[in-house]
Amino acid sequence: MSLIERDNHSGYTTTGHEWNGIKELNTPIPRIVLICLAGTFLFAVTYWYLMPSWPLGDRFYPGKLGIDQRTTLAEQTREADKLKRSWIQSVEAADFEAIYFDNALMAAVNDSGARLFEDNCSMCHGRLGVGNLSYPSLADESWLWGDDPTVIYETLRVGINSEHPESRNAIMPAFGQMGVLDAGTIDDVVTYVRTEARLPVLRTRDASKRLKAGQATYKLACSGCHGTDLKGNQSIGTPNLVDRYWLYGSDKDSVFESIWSGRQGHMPSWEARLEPYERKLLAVYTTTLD
Amino acid sequence: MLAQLSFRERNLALCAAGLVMLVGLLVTAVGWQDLIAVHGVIAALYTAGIIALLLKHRKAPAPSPERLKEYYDDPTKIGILLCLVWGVFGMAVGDWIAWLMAYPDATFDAAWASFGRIRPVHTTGVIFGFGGNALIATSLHVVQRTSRARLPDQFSPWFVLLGYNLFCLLAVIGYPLGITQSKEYAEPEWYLDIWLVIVWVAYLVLYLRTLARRQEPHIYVANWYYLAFILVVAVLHTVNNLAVPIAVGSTKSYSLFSGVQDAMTQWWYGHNAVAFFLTAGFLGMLYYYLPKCAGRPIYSYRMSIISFWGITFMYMWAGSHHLHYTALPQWVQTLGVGFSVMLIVPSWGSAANALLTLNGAWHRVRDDATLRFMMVAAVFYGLSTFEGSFMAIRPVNSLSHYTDWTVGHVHSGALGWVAFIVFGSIYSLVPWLYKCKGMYSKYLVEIHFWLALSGTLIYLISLWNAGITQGLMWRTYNESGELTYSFLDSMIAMKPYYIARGIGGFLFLTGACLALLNVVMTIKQASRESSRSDASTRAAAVDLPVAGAPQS
Ligand code: HEC
Ligand code: HEC
Ligand code: HEM
Repeated sequence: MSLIERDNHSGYTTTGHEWNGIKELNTPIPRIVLICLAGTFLFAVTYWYLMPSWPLGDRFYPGKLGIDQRTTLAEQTREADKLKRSWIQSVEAADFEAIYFDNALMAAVNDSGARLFEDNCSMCHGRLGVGNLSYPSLADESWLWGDDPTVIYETLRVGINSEHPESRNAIMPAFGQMGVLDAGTIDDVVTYVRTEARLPVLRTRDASKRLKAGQATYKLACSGCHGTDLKGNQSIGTPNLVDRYWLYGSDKDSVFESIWSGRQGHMPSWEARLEPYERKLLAVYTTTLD
Repeated sequence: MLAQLSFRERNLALCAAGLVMLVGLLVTAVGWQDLIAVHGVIAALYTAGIIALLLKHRKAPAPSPERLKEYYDDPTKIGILLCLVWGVFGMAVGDWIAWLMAYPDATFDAAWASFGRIRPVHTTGVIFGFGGNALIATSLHVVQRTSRARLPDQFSPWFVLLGYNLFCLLAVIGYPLGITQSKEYAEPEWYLDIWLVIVWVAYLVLYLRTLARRQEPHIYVANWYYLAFILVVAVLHTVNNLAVPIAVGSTKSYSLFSGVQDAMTQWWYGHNAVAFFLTAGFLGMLYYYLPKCAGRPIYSYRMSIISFWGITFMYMWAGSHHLHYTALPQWVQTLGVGFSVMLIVPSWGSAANALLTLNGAWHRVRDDATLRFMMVAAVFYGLSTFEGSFMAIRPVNSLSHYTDWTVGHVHSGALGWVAFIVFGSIYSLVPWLYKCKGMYSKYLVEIHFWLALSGTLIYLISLWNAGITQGLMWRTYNESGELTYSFLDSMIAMKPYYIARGIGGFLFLTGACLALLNVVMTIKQASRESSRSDASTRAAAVDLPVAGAPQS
């Protein structure tokens, strides 16, 4: 069908085609559209002229301004480092004692230290450092290796049971799995340890006998690492068993599991990932958690 | 419905279904130790269902030759229902993952329910399930009407529709099991990609054959867009999915591309999937249903031309704006910026052409929620294309990239443009197809409109806020030159926005459910009425092709 008509509403004519009742007007393209079209083309061409753009075989047109994103990035990083350098040096130069007494540095600890902790540590130790099952709280008075900032700084550097060649090692042997102790003997030790920790224990008829047996086994197999007083040993990172803080749970089954299958928490080494000043801020920040 | 197929077509369908079933069983046998067997079994069951249906109707009397004088709309009817079912499913999963962002533990501790596996279920469900079925259904309707020719045969539209849905089904079942090639919007593995190529070529051939039989001297704009959509998607899909499977009986394959070439191929594909799947096809829809519904001529034929050619030519080169400030050489990025900016005017040309077409029909927009759906779609099309060009500029992108602003931008297009134009088109198409005066309930359409609009606005406003807040938090330094906020701080700041998005998504989902309900009720009502009177035959008289199908 080809019949040119005039549309009453707009006053324009149709193109004369019709498809199932649909017609099209032959309205000219509004000037503003053409101007905008030209504007965007102009923008694109100018931008291409100034910046690296069209490929030329094995090279590309480098752009009038000679801008390159890699050099820009390198420059910006250098600028930022320059700004930070004196501040970083003051952190690196100060020993831990000095940091605690320097208000400006402590402000940095509370600010950047907190951010570094959230970005790097919170997934394991929790945002407030209160830990989780298998991940120690850093906000209580119970410590595996000690709460001295130098100790923490070293822990951060080498990690615990990590891949770092100088890693701290803290391995609770799997007494049951390795066949050193049988289940009954472990049950007795569990009873002994939980009694000493003032946890409620089932009062059976042979309770005192089992407690004695447990105590004997403890002396023999455990005291070397956890101490005769069960208070652990921070120089080798063994936990205190009577301080009401439990890394792997205090119920009978969890304690049994710790002894039967052993434990070996993994704390990564941060030497390759964080700068010394960052680890320093973190060490101090960790001691301020509570 | 199946009784409409001629005996030859019934046999052809049986053969095709049988062949797919055989392949399914073969794959199961060869890869019985691999997850591919799950796909093989499902494909076999799916085709077994089709075969059972065909066998049930095999003995039905031959259809009357009179039917060949009418348009063939049965696949469109089923396509619309599939589209809405996929829509409700995909959006429900979308809302689930939206809540997952606010409450990450809501995965029942199950691997299959983790965010990474469920997210592609949502994107595939809505883009390919909801959007794709809408495109196939409407394109078959539009091409017949604007060519005044019936589809050339009755087998290939079913092959396309059911084959395509098999692809979607297998893809969506595969993701929770962990079957994915990890390319966004191209997650399905190699064997599904091959299957889609077969289906897609059948679609292209069907479309071209119908166009070739047209009784109009010119091809209408809507068909330019539908054709561009079909053609370009075929090219994109094939190139991006070039891969080498590790074994015939395995789901796993390795892409032909690696490193930055892989990234560039992927975003060349990804961006043009947005352009040709989520834009061109739906512009085809807009160009038919909007003027039809408004009863107005298209504002300007010339604007259609510059918009069409502007979009088809320039979109192709804009994909690199997805890789700003990456290992991609800067010159590629610069080219992408230029083409992205040049795209604004052709895009706005389409939006303006649609809105100006409504001049003289604004009272209808006020009174008719169906037309209002299409009007809002055009507005959001304009908004999101402007936003896209803006975000393609490198310094803007350095703020927006990796943030929820991007997700907000996607959904301004996905909800505001794609879903709105689909709903508007379906609400006008269903009464035409079933030859009734209107939808079952006008009020439900009205309620749906307001639910959809408020859901979209809540979604967009919360994510724009979220994205800009995030972007700024990630680049704020304190006076010692250190970052002020941790990543966790920015996550905590997002929580209220994520909750708002979940609520907005829920409103939108509720609207989609109402649409499904309304369409089903309309169909029920129509079948009750047509059995009572012969009104349908009278109404049909005006909607007949000039070129019927060849006798087969
Ligand atoms: C992958 C999880 C993980 C991350 C991340 C992590 N830690 Fe640890 N951290 C542990 C575990 C597990 C232990 C306990 C190791 C053990 O059981 O012996 C530990 C132990 C420690 C200790 C020793 C506690 C004590 O009682 O002596 C300190 C201090 C510590 N972490 C600080 C940090 C800091 C600071 C960061 C961030 C830079 C951090 N951790 C990141 C898992 C982690
Ligand atoms: C080789 C030294 C060593 C010996 C011997 C040893 N332990 Fe341990 N034990 C450890 C270390 C180190 C840990 C901490 C492991 C960790 O942090 O991952 C630990 C952890 C534990 C825990 C878990 C504490 C908590 O907070 O959850 C219990 C309980 C325990 N040991 C009991 C015993 C008992 C009982 C024995 C004797 C049968 C024993 N250990 C012998 C080194 C030892
Ligand atoms: C009920 C309505 C919807 C809700 C609640 C919803 C929610 C979501 C969520 C939570 C994501 C993941 C974002 C992320 O990874 O951070 C997403 C992604 C996506 N959705 Fe939706 N969605 C909805 C509807 C739709 C529709 C209708 C479409 C398209 C037709 C769509 C297309 C997409 C796309 C393309 C992505 C990927 C975005 C990207 O890569 O950044 N969505 N959606």
